[in-house]
Amino acid sequence: MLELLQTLCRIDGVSGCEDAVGDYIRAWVTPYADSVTEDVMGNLLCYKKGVRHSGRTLMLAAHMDEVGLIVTSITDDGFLRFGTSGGIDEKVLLGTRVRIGDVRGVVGVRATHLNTPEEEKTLPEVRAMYIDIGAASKEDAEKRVQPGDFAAFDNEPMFYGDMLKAKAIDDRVGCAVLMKLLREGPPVDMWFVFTVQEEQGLRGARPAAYRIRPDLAIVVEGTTAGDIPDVKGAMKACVAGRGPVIPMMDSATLYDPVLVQRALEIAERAGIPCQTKTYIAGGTDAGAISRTAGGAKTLGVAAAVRYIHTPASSVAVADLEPMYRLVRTLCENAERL
Amino acid sequence: MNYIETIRELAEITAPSGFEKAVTDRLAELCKPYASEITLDPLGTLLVHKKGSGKKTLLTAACDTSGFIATYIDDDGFVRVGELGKCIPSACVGLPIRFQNGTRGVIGCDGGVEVKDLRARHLYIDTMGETVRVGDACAADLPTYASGDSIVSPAMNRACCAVLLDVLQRYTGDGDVTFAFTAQGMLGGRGASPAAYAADAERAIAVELTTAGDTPESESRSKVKLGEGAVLPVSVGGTAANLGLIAELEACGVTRRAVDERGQSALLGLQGVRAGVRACVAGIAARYSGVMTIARVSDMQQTAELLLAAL
Amino acid sequence: MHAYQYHTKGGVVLNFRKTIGALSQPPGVSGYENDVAESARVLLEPLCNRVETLPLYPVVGVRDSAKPGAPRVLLDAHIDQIGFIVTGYEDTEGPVGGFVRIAACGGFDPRTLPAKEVIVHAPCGRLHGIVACLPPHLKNPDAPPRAAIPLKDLSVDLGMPAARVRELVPLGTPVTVKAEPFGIGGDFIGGAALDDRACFAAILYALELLKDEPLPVELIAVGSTREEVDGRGAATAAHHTRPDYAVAVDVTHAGTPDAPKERTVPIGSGAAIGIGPHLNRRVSSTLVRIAQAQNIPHTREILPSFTGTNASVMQTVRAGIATGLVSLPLRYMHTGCEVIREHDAKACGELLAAFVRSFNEGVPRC
Repeated sequence: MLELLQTLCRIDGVSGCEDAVGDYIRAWVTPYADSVTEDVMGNLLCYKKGVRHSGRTLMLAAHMDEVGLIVTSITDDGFLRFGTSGGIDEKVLLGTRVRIGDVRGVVGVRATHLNTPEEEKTLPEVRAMYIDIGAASKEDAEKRVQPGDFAAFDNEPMFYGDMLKAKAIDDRVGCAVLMKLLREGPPVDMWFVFTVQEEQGLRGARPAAYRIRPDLAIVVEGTTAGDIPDVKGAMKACVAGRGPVIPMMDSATLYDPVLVQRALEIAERAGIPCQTKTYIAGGTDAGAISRTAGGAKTLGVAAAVRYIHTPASSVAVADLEPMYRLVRTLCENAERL
Repeated sequence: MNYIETIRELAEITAPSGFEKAVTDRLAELCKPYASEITLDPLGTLLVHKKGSGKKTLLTAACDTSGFIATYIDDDGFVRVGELGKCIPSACVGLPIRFQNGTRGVIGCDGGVEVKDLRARHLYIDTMGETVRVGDACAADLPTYASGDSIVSPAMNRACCAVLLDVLQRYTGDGDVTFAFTAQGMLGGRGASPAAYAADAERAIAVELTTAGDTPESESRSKVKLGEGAVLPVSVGGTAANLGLIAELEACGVTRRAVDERGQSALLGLQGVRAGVRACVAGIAARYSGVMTIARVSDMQQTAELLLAAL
Repeated sequence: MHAYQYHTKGGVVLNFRKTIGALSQPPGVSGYENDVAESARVLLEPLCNRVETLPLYPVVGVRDSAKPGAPRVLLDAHIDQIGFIVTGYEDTEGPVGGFVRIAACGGFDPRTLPAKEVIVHAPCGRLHGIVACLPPHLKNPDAPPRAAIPLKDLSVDLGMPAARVRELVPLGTPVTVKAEPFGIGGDFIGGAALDDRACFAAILYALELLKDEPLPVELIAVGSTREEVDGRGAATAAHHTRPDYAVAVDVTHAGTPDAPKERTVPIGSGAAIGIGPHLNRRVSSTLVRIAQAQNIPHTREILPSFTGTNASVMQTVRAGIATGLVSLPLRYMHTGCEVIREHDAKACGELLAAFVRSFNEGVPRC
């Protein structure tokens, strides 16, 4: 799964333009799935019969999109103005390398020497930032990119210490878990849904859930870990290396407490280390799925990801296998949830 | 060598930056039996040369303390001052001081000034009517004493001088060693480059105080503790030490590395002369650089041992 | 043939990106340049009669003159880069809770650090890390919007348990932002530490251009150190070699949408020739005259006082030196990713070679 995760992270699929990721996943799962459908928004809905039928409609969801930038206009000197697609903090944009297809660029900022001490203390707004693609002029830039093009973070997956860093771990890690479970054969009949535009506000999940009407949905995600220096106690949310996270609540969803309790018990019985989120932050497709049409019971399983929504998002390698095992084990015990 | 006695004797000599003669005179006497040649350079640094056929090394220690110089005497006899070395004005209010001529006084400050706005120009010295002339210099008039293995002193630079003395007295090798008791260290290591230029050594080691980080809410990231022995800062006040020289010293004894972001040091002055010199600092952990400083005798002794092994 | 250049029909071409890359591989943080000095020495050796490295690690290569008693001309570019050193350990809970704190060596813009990849140059080898930052979801909603985080509040994540970090990373270990040079568009080059390795490459290019001709001067090529902190590398190198003329080659601010036009030069405008009190008037005039006569793209940069380069440092060494300054336009100086144009670096190299050749007609004059 480690290899698959790295491959998925290398593909660019900024919220609103997930095609490349969708194409790859579709080609990969088609030999194993009973059916693969792409809906009008671009969601991939895959169905596979399991070893048994659970008596309920069960759905796993992971989103294909990643946060990134969209080109809004081109300046007279050939620089690109942009907006963000998905929540990106200004402070990780300056000096960051991006790519628009094959066109490489960097988000520039004037040298500190040209700032007053007051200006030093505040970062520019996104609309005052620009991407430098080494264009000699506006015409030169227009030959290579257009307003409306998407820019993804430009870097390669890399291991450091016991961690893996790659852009888009949120939520290619979820996609990888779904793909692996599909290939190995799920314990019960299940829908595997690869959604789009989660980062734009859970937009793809809504029509997907409307079509499928699940009784139970498990959303497999990456969740924000704040276990870095100067962050105290509960504010850390979760800790990298302590296993997958089963959240009780986030900003979009209040998970059914009974369901969460049962899930934790199943995990403990199976000897899978896991943790829960100590701070209410972040939202997932569960927020949309649990409230679409007549509603659905939902559960979340997430990997603790440091530096989420930055080019340097990172996950503890040791957390990946337990995460897969947990999702698989929950599916095996679907009737008890 | 009895460290506490030596340091106490040296610390009681009033000799702030620019006015080091009183202490360099005494140091010259103490060095005489062991040196080939003793000279005073134009800035007031005492250069003690022990000739040898081997490697040329320069060891330095600042011999001055911070203090004040009388700049103006008002009609009521209160003495306005300039800083000799940076002071923390609020820490100086009420401080007893002594001038080089023996006159004693207490530092006061202008009324109506908020603590955070206090500067040196708000301070004055109350000598209770005793005479002082413009241009006279003074330093803190506080005792130096021992407490267990620790020494408490307002003039802890003199402990660095004691380490140099200890090494000078015990060194019997054939290396060519210059011991420089530098002037104006508290003004930013000013005595360092002329001394380094004159000594023209292959390597230079400055014995200095290193900021300890073992006090409550300390901002120091390296967390140097008292009692850990010799400290070898890789960087002091933003100036890099020579890592090769640090490695040579590390091979001679038990040491620890640190990064001293705040300290002021002779390092830059020692390194940048002529075609450049390999230099580093042998640090003695010390708490509080305001009025009274605390350091451990065991740290000083271990530093001396390290230098002896390295020479 | 030199590994980093290839000959074309018309003449010599230096592979700037590869050369800068060769200098960017080993660490060379200001004050700790022993490794990059070695790379610089290797690059200089084929082009000089002799090369030596001084105690503060500046690398000095000398090409003798054909004429005895010829004037000495020094060309300097600094090979140190801004970076950081490890100042302390910061443990958080959990199995991958080992972080370190860092302090600056040189003026890196801390606003461009969060989430960047860094390399920790530990004794056991290069360790990769990430500059830790809080994600938007966990930001304090009451904090001022878009507040920049000062360096002292940042830390580096090594992805390891705290105990292993203490074992592998001693205090004072240098840290650099990871960025091999890369191409963007046309002949633009991006990367960290283009300041000032791109200019050292320009000096190498000049040496290549002069390779096969006898020189009217003793030419001293210096890869200096510590420019970003105290300039002692160039000062001690100049003290040691006693040049009559010393031209510093450094970077200057190139125009960007958010920078005032009057304080920058356009990228693509060639070499910026410095004029001002810290620079000898005869040298500056000669550089301008040569650039005009030989159609080398250039602009004039007026520097009212401290030039911010080794030129100011070298002017007062020993009994004084006649200094000059040739600058390469560079965008995003001191951030994690700087940008230059090869066109401009070549212009600098050509101008330096032309300056050396000009001594055939006489010494610099107004």
